[in-house]
Amino acid sequence: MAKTILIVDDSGSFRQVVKMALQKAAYEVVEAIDGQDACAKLDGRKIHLIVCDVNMPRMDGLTFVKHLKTTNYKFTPVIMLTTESQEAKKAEGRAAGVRAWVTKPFQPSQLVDAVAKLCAA
Amino acid sequence: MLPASTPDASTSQPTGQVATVLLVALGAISGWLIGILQPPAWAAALLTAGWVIAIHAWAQRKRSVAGSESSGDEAAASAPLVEGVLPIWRRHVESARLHSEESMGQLLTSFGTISERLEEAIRYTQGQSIKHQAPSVESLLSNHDDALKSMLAPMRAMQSTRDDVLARLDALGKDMADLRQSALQIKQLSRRTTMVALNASVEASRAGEHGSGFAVVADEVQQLANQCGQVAQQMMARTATIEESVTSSRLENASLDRSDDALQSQAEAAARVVVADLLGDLSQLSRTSRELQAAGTAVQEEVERVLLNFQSQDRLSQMLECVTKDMNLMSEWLEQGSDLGAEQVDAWLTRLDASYTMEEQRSDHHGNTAIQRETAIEFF
Repeated sequence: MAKTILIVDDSGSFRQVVKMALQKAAYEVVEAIDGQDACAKLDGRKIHLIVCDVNMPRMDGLTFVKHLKTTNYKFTPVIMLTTESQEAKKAEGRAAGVRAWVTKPFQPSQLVDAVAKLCAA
Repeated sequence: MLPASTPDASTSQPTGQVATVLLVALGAISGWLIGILQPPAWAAALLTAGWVIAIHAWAQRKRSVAGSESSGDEAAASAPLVEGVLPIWRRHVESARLHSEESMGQLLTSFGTISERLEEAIRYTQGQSIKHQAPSVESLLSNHDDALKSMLAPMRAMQSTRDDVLARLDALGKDMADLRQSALQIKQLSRRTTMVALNASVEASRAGEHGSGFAVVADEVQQLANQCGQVAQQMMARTATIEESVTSSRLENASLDRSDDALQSQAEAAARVVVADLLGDLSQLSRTSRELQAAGTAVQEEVERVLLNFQSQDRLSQMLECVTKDMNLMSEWLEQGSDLGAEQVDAWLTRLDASYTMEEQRSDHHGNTAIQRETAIEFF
């Protein structure tokens, strides 16, 4: 059975790039346009991994990850996929339980490898 | 500089001229007093130095005042223009950002569809090439030998039936020979019986009247023997005719058998040529398919590179958004008419610097060389 990945990014084009890369690797994809939308998508369905941007309107990525830890999805691994490269933000992400930090632009194959690694763990 | 500041500069010019004339007049009066009062040399030098310092200080103040008045007037004059233009620039930048994002989204969808179609085509050609991976036509023929045999099976069955008929004709020929031999024996028996009947007739004639009855019997026996001989002769003739026909049929069948072998060989060779041509075409098709597959893979890789480059849209969008936000703040600040001292400028630039998310933005802000960063994944 295909594993389901939740993509959270306010950029439609970026969601499309990530979606294509993951679908090609036989993953099922659920999309959310920001942290608030992602919270609504966590409706009990099985999510194997979350790929999340940092800077988004309404609810940013790090706030969403912190909220995630209070839900039934607290053990779901999260990869931050962002243009944000400040060490302070990375440290904040690490403290919030983020498992990997990918800085844009990224190689789709590298992202797929990271997703496979964290899904298998 | 803006034309609005020019009248202010011209109005401050007469005041400066009056002050200069006053200074020159005071200098002349001082010189006249020194000439009349004849003060000591050190006092005259001190007075002159004092005047020089005073004139220099006045000149500096004049330049400073003129400069501050000019820049203040320019700022005051240009503020409405900036207030008017800044929101327009902001709207233009925002509009450009939205348009480019929308266009990139549509382009991405199109490229995504192309990539999916290519992947399907490659998967299909991969499936086809697997079926035709035999290295040569000969080995393909060998692989399809069963099919060739089944093609020639009806011909082989017909030949087998003919062989059976031929065997039966052989057996019939042997039976005919036996029958002819039997007829020959009957004929010989008939001849001997005739001889016996002839002897019996001779002996009956010797016996005279007493042998007349026996002579009749001997005559009858001779007639029967003659009839048997005739029947045997007919049987022999008929058997010979049949045997001749059987022999002829056997020869004909043997000839046909040889023709069938040749025909079968020809048919098999022709079938092999046809199948070889067919498999040759299939091999060519398979090669073409592999070439198409390679070309498709190359195009797909290129599409993936294009998709990678599309990620710049998100970066561009973030850069423009950052500039738009700052324009917005500038516009609000101008509307409030706040004073902008050196401290506020520093605070503004520090806040702007802190709002960046990308290294490129920071590099651009500080005028550094752009950083070439490799894609990297940090696992925590």
